[in-house]
Amino acid sequence: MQHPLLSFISLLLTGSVPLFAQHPGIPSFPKRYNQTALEVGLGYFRMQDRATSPLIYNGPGISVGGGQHFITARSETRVHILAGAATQVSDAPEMPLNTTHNAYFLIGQFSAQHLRVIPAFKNNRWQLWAGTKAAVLGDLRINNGLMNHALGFELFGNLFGSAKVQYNLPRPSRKERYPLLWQFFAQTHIGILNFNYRPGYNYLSSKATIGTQSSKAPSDPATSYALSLNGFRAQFEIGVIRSKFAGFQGQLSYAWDGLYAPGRYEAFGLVTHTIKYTLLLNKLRK
Amino acid sequence: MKNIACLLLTICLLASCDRAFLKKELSTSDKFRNFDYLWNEVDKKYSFFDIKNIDWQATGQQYRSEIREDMSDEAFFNILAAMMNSLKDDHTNLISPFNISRYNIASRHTSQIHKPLLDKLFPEAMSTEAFFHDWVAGEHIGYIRYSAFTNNFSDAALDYVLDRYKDSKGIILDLRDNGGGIAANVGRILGRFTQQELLVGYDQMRNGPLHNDFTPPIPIKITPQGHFFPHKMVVLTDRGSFSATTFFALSTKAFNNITLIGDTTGGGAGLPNGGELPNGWTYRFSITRMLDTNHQNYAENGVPPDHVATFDWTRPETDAVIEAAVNFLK
Repeated sequence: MQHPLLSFISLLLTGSVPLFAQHPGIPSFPKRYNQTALEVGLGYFRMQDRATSPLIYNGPGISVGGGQHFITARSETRVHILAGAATQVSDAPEMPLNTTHNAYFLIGQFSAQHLRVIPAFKNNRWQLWAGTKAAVLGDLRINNGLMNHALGFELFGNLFGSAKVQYNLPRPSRKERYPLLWQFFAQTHIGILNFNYRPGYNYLSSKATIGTQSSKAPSDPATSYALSLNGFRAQFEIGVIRSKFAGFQGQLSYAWDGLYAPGRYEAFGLVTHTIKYTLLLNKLRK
Repeated sequence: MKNIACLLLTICLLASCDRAFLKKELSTSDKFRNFDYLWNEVDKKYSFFDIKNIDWQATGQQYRSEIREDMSDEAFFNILAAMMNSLKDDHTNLISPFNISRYNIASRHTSQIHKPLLDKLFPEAMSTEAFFHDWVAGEHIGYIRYSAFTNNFSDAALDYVLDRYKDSKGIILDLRDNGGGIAANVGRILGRFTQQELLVGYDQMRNGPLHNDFTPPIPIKITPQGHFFPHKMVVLTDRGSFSATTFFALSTKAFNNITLIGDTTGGGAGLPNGGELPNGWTYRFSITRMLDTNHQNYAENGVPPDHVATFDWTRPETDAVIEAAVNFLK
């Protein structure tokens, strides 16, 4: 019995077609198809902004995202957007009276990646992919305990070198109309060019304009924010895609994302751990 | 099972990678490390060392020598607070769960206002949003009290108040004991007293480790806003006039139709930041400074009035400062 929600989605996607032929063994892939991805994640967000505090802010968060994948037998291109929100608590040391502070943390990201399969490392079971990824991430953090630094934001741009290894495991099922296919994968993205636009030596988040000042007023972020080409970012994701029935796939994965922007007085670090579920809606390309 | 173990191992490995991106060891209740952190933050970012005449190096050595690792948190707080208060700046605070330090410049000077007297002097006064106002008895002069720049108001309310006195000889704007607040309200009020854009000062922010490292001066201008008020205004100030009120007082120096009467303001001519110590206590101190139109940096120590007038506490039933303003406008 198909879940009613999936029935509804399949109704919307009238173009959805079976991707895997109905025969035992390794299901065959169509030559070209698109995927619409809808993801939801539960995460653990960790942030350290040394422009305002030496403490690390940790806390649970959620993320939602979506994207479009353009897949052929030899390449895949993925375009994604992601939004996340978290509540965080500082890791202040234990003292007789509580000295921790709470913060709210929001992120948004746009990314695009293109991977090509490496023929020398491809067979029915294993596939090795390599390519590149570009991402722009913005964050907004709100911490009322920091007074005129209560609000902060950063922008990060990264160009990655990417690699993915995939293992296909067919699992014929008597109960299902179509055979099951498990695709185990691990992928990593290593930052090659890393930009950041964030508070420099000093900054104010409160717009305390006295009169009519130019955009270079000290209270304007344009004055104190700096665009830098430095830092590092790395991402790792491991997961499994279960093709339960034709046209749809479910992906469960764990993603780790680490980002660092240096600075003698204003270094910034961000790490997220996320367990994600992604619904992949397939559509053949003509 | 093997897959789950592999996944858990991966998560553990990556969790250990967090260390490369986040420095956990910075969180500490160690008193010396907290002291050094605060001293360094102030040293690298505070904006008024030049006019405070403070040897910050010696100040740090003096207070650091008083620290003992086994001293109470309260005693440690008092040492940090004393060091911060040596800056003599009410934008400088240390905030712990059990206390907040402040220099309190107003309490170190004689107050020039007796607030309960205002209700007696203006028993029929109107309250229009943030403004308490009325005619001065027997005179064709308006009196407007704006007690805090934190009290917001609409443009319509401000125009209403000023329009009420548009046919007067002038108005008195009482900013005594106004501790500041929303700096944007400075331009909203002063914009009613000019018909052309007016340069009123410059703004700078500390941008380097040396005490005289600052961004280039950024002009601050007042642009015409709302209904133009065509007559003179006297602004009353005292040592309780702080922060945005000091910005206001300094800005008035560029206006020919505005006169400051009363006492020197309390200062606070820099915008404060905010930050956190390794033990979770928070702090703030000034990181910008406002200069006058000649690039002179004195407002942090107070903006002097054009005419000094002091409250006569031997005659507490009369307000000698308001009387001085009335006599000026007559």
